[in-house]
Amino acid sequence: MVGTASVRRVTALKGWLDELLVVILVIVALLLGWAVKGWVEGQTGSFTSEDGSISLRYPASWLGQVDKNALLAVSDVRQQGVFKPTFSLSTREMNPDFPLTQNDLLVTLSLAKAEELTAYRVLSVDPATVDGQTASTMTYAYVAEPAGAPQNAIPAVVQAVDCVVTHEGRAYVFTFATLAERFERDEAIFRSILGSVDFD
Amino acid sequence: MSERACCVCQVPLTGEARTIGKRCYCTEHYAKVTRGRDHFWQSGWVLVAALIVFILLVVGVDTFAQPTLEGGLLLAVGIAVALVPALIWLLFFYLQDRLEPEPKRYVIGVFILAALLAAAVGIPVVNDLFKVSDWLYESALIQLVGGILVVGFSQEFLKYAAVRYTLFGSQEFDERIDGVIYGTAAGLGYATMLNIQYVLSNAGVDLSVGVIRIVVTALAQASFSGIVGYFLAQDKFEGKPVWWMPAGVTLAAVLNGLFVFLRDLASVRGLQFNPWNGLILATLVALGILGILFWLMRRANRASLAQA
Repeated sequence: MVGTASVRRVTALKGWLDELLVVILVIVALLLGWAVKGWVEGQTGSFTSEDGSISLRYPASWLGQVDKNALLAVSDVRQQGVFKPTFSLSTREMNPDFPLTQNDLLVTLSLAKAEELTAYRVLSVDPATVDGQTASTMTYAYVAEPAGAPQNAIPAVVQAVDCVVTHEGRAYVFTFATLAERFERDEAIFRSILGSVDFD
Repeated sequence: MSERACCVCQVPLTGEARTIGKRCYCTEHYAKVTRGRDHFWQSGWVLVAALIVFILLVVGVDTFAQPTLEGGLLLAVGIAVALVPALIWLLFFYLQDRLEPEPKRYVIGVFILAALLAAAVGIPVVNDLFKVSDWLYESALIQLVGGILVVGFSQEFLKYAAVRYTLFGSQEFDERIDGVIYGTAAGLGYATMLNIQYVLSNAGVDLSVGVIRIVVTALAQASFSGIVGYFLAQDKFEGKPVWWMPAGVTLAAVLNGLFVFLRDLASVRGLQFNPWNGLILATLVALGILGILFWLMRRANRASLAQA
């Protein structure tokens, strides 16, 4: 004889299984969604200088910006906020008669930025490595009023980092800038770009 | 000999029991489960029509009177507009529900719960955890797949949860149509919170564009969770197989993602934005889903009565 209690148990078990399957399904869907997100964000564009001396990869969704002083300037234009994360690469020939150290280059850069940027502050100077080459990074902050912001918008506090590398008589300066409040999160992108640098 | 119980009230049944699918019923609940409740469907049709009238009214005022709304007033008007679709539905539903009243506190409770789930879980998951605005619009395929997997499944699951983990097991959920009623209430609650968030994140909205967007969201969310509600009801009252509910949530999630994809495709042409195309699509989808659910419910009720 099948009792009411056992019928209820079977019904409850079936209901429990239904719920479990729905929960598993949703978790699997969200994990797949996360994988799609990771795949899209992992897509990169590549850049190689005209003379082939340096190449690197940057997020494919970042768009090129006009910067006559840079070999490459790209920005994440889809990012919310009055200042978009920006990466640029510039280079300069070194005078072989007066070779500058990386620290000298950072001081020169710092003096130039102190003149052109508002409320410029150096936060730290640290050693780094780019494609096996010794490098120096300088983290700094300034206040920016980017073009296109509304008249009554509060100026943006920007945190940026310059990474200087000398290679075969040439200095390379990698610059990354983003809103100070997003710096910790966005810095990983800069690290990823630096990790892709390849000197020929 | 087996001893059976009514699947709604759990009262033991003796002798010949009435059954639907794998479920047994006492006489009272058998009659309730197979009831048509035409007024609900009427309120559905009226909702769609009233929302169109509402849009025309707001766009007319915006075009001809050109009110100057700024700051707090713009925000307040935007939030008021965001609440209108739910208020219209609730108003018509209860005006027509006087003869066969559904406990008001349950319908409103599900509505509020779904809105809270949207604010506490759904919106943060989509916007902050997945940051869909950063990657979803990379390509058409990504938008479609990501929209279904992330936006569709998270939204449909939360609306499903608002009904499944509250009223589904109670004796108040005692008619087939209850699934669609509570599902619609959950969908409108979720849509209301999405719309309030839309207004707040834009610090107010342009009246004409905003009202269309708000109505489109309300119609779509209510329709998709109506589907989930139908699957819930069939599962409860007919004892469907274990794949039934996952299939229902998947169907709603796919339609949700597909709808958003098609809405954007229809609304955006190059740099031009035409929200009316999105509204036409949402209206067709809402009417289509309402019609299909109406037909399915009617067919199920007729089949049950014929079997009896």
